[in-house]
Amino acid sequence: MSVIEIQHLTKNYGKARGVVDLSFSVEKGEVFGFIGPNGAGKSTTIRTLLGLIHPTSGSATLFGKSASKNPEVLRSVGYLPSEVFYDEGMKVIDLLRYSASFYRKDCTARIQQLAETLDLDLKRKIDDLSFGNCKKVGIVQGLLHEPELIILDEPTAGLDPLMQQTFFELIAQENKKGATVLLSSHILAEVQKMCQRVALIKDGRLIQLEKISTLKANAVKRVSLGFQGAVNTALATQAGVSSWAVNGSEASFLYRGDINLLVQGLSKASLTNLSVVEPDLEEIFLHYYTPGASR
Amino acid sequence: MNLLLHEVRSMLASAVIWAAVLCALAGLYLVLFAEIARDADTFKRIFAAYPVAIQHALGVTIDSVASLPGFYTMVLTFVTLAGAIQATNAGVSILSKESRDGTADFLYTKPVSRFGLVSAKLGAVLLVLLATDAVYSVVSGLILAGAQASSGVVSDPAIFVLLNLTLLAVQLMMFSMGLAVSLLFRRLQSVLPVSLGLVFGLYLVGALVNTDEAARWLSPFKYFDLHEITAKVAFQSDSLLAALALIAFGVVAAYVVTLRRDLHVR
Repeated sequence: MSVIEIQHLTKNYGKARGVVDLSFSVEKGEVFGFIGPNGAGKSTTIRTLLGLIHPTSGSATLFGKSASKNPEVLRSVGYLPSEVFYDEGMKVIDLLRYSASFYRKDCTARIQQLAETLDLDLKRKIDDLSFGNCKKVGIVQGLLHEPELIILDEPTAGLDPLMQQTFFELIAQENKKGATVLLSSHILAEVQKMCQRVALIKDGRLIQLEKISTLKANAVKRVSLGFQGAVNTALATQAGVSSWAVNGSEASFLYRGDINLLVQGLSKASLTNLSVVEPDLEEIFLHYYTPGASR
Repeated sequence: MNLLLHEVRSMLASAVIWAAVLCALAGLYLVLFAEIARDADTFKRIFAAYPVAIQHALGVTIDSVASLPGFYTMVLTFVTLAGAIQATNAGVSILSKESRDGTADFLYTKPVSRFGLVSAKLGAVLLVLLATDAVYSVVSGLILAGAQASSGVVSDPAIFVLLNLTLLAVQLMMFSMGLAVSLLFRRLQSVLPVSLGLVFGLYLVGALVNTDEAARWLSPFKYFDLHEITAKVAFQSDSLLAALALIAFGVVAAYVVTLRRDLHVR
């Protein structure tokens, strides 16, 4: 049984599109990335999974159960939303104790340990906290019951780089202990660093579901060339070449396809420089999300 | 249970203030009773000079204003108005709080069913209203006992118990109305204008109709005829049924809408 199972999930907001016919699953122990630009439908998917919103059609289950029909399943889930809001009149420790009271287990030591790791003052009032510190409260309240599934929606917004590193170390530790992680983000470096598989979502539809390694292997490569004399424009028409750009005697382009065919094409040109750069996810991302671009 | 206690705790400070307001209102008016009873004819003439609509709005009945139960019905009109504001405020705010404060993501992702969540929240308001009214009943009972001792006229205590229960009934009806109105908004930014508008709007409607008109069912403030309760020492069954129906309407709507509603980010 998959920890997360989404089957043909569609959610419309009146006439507005949320997600359309989305299907994927996340297996136990996996760190799964969920990438898309703002408004692509990532939060809609997560909120449907958590039972906060109801699907128009299809299903979204956690541990084989729908959270809206079986809220007990949420006992094993920790959720960190992109923006955190709490009762501002409460002290941090009171809020965390209140949160812990829903899980019927003593989380006192765990709260202390997480607060120390994240350098969070438990005695302060929520009202007095900065956005970053509020986010830390969110992290602690998401992890205090040692959930089997951790759902993170744009988790690093508001955290400084050092705290981001600490946060990802924490998540990696939880994953090592057996927790499954769903990480939704538009910051691709963190997905690249953390995840084994990734789903790319665009306009509410799943456009790619791959292992990170496969995605990078099959993706476009950025090629930059320096020519002796004039640029050989015949290369621009070669199959697999896109985004052709010329600057004086230099040209650059994106290449997708058999690398041997590219080498054959290049052999006819007289070059002063050649670089083929392994694409990072940013480039893959841009390729998929440039308006009009397709797979 | 944790959720219910949390909600009760969050309403406790305002409940103490409301209980004090209700007791102070009863105290302030009832200290006047000895004077009014002594000079009954003058006061009856003064009240008789008011237009009928104003007499209704003030809860005054000329014939009985000089008796303690009759005078208390007038006092209770104001106490009920204040109690209704407390209850309506609670009704408008209790289920809209999460979408207003952005805390829905926190609460609704906990392992609690929405049915359990609504039940805990409604239960918390019920407890707070019962506690407020219990404090008010004890304090007003002591004040009434004092007023009876000083005037020398003793009335059936059951009258005052029944009259005080109408406070709770009106509060529950207004709570239910507040709940129902709050459900119409996807995100209710400000509670007080809605609850005050609802209370004073319905109070005004009540002031314009007589208790024997069918139109009285438009205003929870007119469901119970305090003078008839005083005379018969009993509730009218149609009033009780109508009150129960109105309370049930808001409560059922709260469950139905909350169970189906999508919860969005603030």
